[in-house]
Amino acid sequence: MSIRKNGFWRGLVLGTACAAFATLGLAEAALAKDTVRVRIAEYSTNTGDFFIEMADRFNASQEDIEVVIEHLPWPEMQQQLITDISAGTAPDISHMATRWMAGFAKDGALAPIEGLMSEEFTDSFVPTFLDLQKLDGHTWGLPIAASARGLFYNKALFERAGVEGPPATWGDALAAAKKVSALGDDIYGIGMQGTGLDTEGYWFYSLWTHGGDIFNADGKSGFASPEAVAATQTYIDLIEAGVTQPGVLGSNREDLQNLFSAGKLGMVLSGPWLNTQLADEAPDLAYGISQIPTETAAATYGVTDTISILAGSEVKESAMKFLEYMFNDENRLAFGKLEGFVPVLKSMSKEPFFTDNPKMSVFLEMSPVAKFAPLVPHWEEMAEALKSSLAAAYGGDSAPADALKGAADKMNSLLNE
Amino acid sequence: MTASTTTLVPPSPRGLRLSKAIPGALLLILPSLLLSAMVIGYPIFDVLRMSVADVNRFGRVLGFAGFDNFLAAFTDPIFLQSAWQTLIWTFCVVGGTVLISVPIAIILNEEFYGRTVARTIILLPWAVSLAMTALVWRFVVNGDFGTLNTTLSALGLPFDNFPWLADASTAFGIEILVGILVSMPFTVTIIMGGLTAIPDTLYEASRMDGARGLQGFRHITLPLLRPFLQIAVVLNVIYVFNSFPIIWIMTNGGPANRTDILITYVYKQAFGFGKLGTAAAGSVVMFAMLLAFSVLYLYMTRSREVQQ
Repeated sequence: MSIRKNGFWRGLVLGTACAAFATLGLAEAALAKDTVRVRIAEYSTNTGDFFIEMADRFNASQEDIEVVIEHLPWPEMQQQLITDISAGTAPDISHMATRWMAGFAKDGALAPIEGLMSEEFTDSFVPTFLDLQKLDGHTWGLPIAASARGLFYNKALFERAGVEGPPATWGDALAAAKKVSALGDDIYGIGMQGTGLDTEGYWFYSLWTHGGDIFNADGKSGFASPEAVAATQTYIDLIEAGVTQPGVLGSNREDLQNLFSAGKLGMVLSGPWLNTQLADEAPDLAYGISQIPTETAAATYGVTDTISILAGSEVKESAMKFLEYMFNDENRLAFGKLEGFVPVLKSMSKEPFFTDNPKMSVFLEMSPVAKFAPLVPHWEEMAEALKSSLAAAYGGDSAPADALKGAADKMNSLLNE
Repeated sequence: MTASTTTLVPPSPRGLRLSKAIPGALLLILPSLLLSAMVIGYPIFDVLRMSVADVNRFGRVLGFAGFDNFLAAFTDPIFLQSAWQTLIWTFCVVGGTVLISVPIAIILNEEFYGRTVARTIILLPWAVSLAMTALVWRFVVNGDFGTLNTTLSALGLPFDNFPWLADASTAFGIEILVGILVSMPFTVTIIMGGLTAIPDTLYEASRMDGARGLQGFRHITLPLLRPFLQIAVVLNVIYVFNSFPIIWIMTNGGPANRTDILITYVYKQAFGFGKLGTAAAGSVVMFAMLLAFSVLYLYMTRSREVQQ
């Protein structure tokens, strides 16, 4: 007891002394060292630790910059960033979804970084991915993660149902889904997302492979184009044939991934992160990944996430030094291995980890046909209107053409704002 | 001095004597009054200001917007739909809670073996955070992995894989039931407080006068419970009207906005779409609705007492 007590008092005195010295030290260091606060969103439970270790290595490698990492779950990122920017407590560097970037840039929250980047650093990126971070002639961030999407199919279910190989067209997909569904009451042919994050993305697969696009040639919404109606009808046909999981309107992305992981789903459209989940939860599941089924065109949904320097940062140059470190070959390869994303650096495109693994290379192969969500302000609200229209169409509450017209009108009026 | 006189002489009904003490008393409570005014008043002021301003997503006021924000809200069909759904939600949850809580409180007020355990069980939902309750129920009603469907199909009922949250009406129904479950402990507690205040002698006297069956309940319990029921209704309405976690977590307002209520609508406008102005206007409308309800309800119930 007494020793412990002594220890406590000694600790307290020592602690106070340390704190006092640290304050003095800090005041001195503040003159020399730049502190860079970096906020990272978590792709998995390992993301936070990965970046903390990276920052430790960076801090140890030089004298001038001290990087501090904060990490948050994705669902909280947007609100937290908005709150912090309005309160003046935003970090120097923040991770975000590329689709939020346009709104943040337009409202003056982000710093243009093209002037801070060396030519060599700029050249190290795959141009497609870096171009996505550009708007109104400025670069607003770096593509920290990129992914394409593919068709995951359960090989065991396909074999039992007598389906040979993954379907190449939507017609084949319907036929395959019918056979798989016939295997049992709790086995479903193909997953169909009807709610939650990225519901509109699940529809874009069909939109783009039917030759439609988010914008028509005249710059107006393409949500209600004949191709968009046909794309929606393809999905409705799957739902009405009873080959999807029941309760499409209540199924979010995680629900579908969980069903696939439980071996109850023949096919699902998803991204490379599902590889990580399956390796974790269902190591014995035999599955393959192929291209998205087509109707008139090959396409996939490409998505990037962005890491930006904020306009309010007083240490922008130091922040860029850390970003350069974050995007060196070694760190990017480690990140790719950890989270399973498509490489964004030219030098990584030939890395065996990405090219030799069939579960990764399929996403690389699809990169040339990847299409992206547009960078327009109010995109979140347009996507929300689209989700509501899709729910009405999938649920049979209104005809696809009528439902989609509502979303297109909403998008056009938001474009004029 | 004043204290001793007020205790000796019964205060006049108009409280004339007390009014002399008011300036001093006011001075004493002034600091806490100011603090409350700041804590309660400032956010209300800020919301009112934003509702008539052109604000960017970070809350910076860019200019005066007049009633544009209100116009934007009222011309949005989803806002009107959410307002209607809010009324259904509040009416069903509060109505259901009161209907269920009265008999439960009466039962728990009787002496029986294990009453303490029963009381604790009724109060338990109160102890679990709302977000956690909603999350657990979302898992329970999951079509493929949920325990509800497992139980129902084990009983031989045809609810295999039935997707409860995929259809707006079943989803809203389930959310209302969860709402009732979490509002019950508070309501039961208030009503039990009211019941203990009713002296047993009243029932004994009524039985001597020949009251039978439910007559005691109708003519003694209910009238004497009225002030407690009023409080329960008003507080529950305010609380349920503004309740966010259940709907947000279970359905996020979907499918197709058909379980959205005003508070989820406002949240989406503010943090999803960055339209703080529209969100502020929506909040002002909510505030006005609640204020109107509270005033109207208290006025109606009071006038009935006067008539009696």
